[in-house]
Amino acid sequence: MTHHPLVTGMLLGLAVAIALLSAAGMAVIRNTYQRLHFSALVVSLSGGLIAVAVWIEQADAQARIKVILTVGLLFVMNSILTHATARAVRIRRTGSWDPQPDEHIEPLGQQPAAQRHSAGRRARRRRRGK
Amino acid sequence: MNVWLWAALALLAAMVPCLIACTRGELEDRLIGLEMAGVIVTFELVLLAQGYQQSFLYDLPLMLAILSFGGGMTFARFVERWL
Repeated sequence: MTHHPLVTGMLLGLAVAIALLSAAGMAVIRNTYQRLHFSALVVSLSGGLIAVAVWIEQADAQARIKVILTVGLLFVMNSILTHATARAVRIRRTGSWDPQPDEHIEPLGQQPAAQRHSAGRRARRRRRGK
Repeated sequence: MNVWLWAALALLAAMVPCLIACTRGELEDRLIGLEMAGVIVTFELVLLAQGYQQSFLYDLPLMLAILSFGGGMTFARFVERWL
């Protein structure tokens, strides 16, 4: 039996609300790559809240471990599946995973030129202000 | 009905947008709807297992989590190469 019915109810309500909003967002957003992010929201937030609620209410250790394992597996596998899906979409649309000749992709760790210039301007303004 | 079964019933509504995504748009968008539906059904089974207080029911979401990953990867491979 439950010892914390209010806490469990709140956790489950929040988990279901996040899942509903994420599913609705996934259906509304038209960009395929943006759509991919909504399942991560469900897995991480809703899954975590459901796992905590089960952990609070369930006395059986085996059931607790199975739920934690289920949510943990989903957490790990969903990120792999999301990457595989994004890769499949890109290869299907452009023919290759690699950047196209007409495509400009900033190297990892480097800011776009516009951001670098605006950061420099802000720093100069701060120095002049002092 | 306890709070777990009410939550399971409410979570069923999240299947409607997945169904809409699976029936409209490009093939890639449908695949994303299918993956989201797999995640939601897994949580649905967790809630039902807890709601009915049957220990053996916890095996179902665990198996579904593993199998939906395999299914999703296979679909993604097919979308990438052959479909």
